Amino acid sequence: MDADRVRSVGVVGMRESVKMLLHYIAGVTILVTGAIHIMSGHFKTLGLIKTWDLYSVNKIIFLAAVLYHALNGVRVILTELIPRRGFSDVMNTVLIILGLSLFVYVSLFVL
Amino acid sequence: MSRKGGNRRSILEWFRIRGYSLEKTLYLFQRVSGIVTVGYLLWHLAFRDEAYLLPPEIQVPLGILITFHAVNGLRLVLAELGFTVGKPIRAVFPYVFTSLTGIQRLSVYLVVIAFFALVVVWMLIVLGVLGW
Amino acid sequence: MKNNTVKIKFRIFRFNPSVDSSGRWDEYELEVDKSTTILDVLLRIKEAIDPTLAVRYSCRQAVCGSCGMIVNGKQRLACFTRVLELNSSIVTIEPLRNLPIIRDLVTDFSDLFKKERMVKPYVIRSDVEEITKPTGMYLQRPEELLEYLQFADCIECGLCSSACPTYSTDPLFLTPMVLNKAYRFTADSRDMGLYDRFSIIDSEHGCWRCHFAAACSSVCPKGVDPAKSIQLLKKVTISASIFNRVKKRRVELALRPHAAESPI
Repeated sequence: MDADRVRSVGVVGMRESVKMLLHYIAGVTILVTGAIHIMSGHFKTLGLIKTWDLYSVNKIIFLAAVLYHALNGVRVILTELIPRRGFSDVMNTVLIILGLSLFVYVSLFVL
Repeated sequence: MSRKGGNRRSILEWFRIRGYSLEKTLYLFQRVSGIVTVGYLLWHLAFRDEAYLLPPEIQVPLGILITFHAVNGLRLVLAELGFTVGKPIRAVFPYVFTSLTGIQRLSVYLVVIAFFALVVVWMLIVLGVLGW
Repeated sequence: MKNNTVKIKFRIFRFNPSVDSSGRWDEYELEVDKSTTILDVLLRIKEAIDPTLAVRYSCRQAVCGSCGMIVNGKQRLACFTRVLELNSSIVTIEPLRNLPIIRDLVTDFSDLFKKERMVKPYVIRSDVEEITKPTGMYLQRPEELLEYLQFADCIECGLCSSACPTYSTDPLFLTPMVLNKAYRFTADSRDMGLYDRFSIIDSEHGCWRCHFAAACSSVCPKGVDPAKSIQLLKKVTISASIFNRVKKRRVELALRPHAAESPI
């Protein structure tokens, strides 16, 4: 899943069904990649996973899925609480920028 | 409640769970656990190294909330894509609501069982009994 | 012969928005027996104690959907609720939440009906010639009827929309009642209007703002199960929107020789 392309500017015009299906797919992805992420920090033998190259891939996918799922969740809750048209456009833009910048920053400078 | 205008109790309405379906309670917990997890996520991205240093008093409730959100989320994905809500039937009194009594309700019980099992495992890991 | 009657206290919410700044709770005490319904009580109060009490009702047999209100905290039909079955010595009656109050127990359904018109609640077909100048009737097999019959039983009482936690925060949400109606027509084998309704169902405040709290189904008095129809609607929406898969339907037209002469 090309995370950058998914959260490109085109996302603002994406249909709601696409955004929500991605939300569910990201959720399931988090279950798998997140479990690996957490377990590798707690189990001595599984800690060896950290030396594999795939571990970095796991982290990137995990990061993309978590950022999409969390920020889309925030968007859904805010859309329901503040249904004003002008607010939703501003909020969508802010969330996309926040998501993209967090992804770029964390994946480049942290991982 | 603003009786004038829309007659809405707004966000407090999420907490009105007495007398309604079990799923409404789970909806409330899903929302609350999701919001708390977003807060944790932002903190974790900012202070990555300190994640290991979180005391058990914070790690355990956090783990419980995240575990609940994940397992209930799985149930919701299956229900919202139409797989567990049941088929359309003829509505004959006394009515049967297949979305509340069929496979979906079974999935609720499975979620509860899986949740408690995972919480026990999680607590054992955090308290050092399992793993590290 | 005297029926076994019990004295019950009723607290009824009174509010006239054009005159009052806030509502008040009026208390009445009445004798009821095991068959007395909430509607019976309200009409007795109106008749003998306080004629200014505003109540909407009609059929008194749970088919018109007029008398929806909140009794002891839960959405119910007044004509369908027996007082003694509530098992409470105090009964609180207030108007439906999430809908503007017109007066006392009467609420404004215009938002719900407006949204219902937006989802085009009628069979949409492309053979306009046949629709405007009918020559016959469209046949439907029993299994095709079963696909939507349950959802057609809706009496539009609004209890579902009043119980919905999304509608209580989001006034633009289409509401379970409207989404159920949209699915009733989408699932109808004679209907070809999925894409006509698409833009509103797949919108920011359409079916995706439902998160399966299922409060709607838990209060529905007619067994319609709107929670189910909304999730099935999501399934259809995903199939059509993302995988471009729409159920192929072939509807047979049974010719009726006098159809054109005797319009229905």
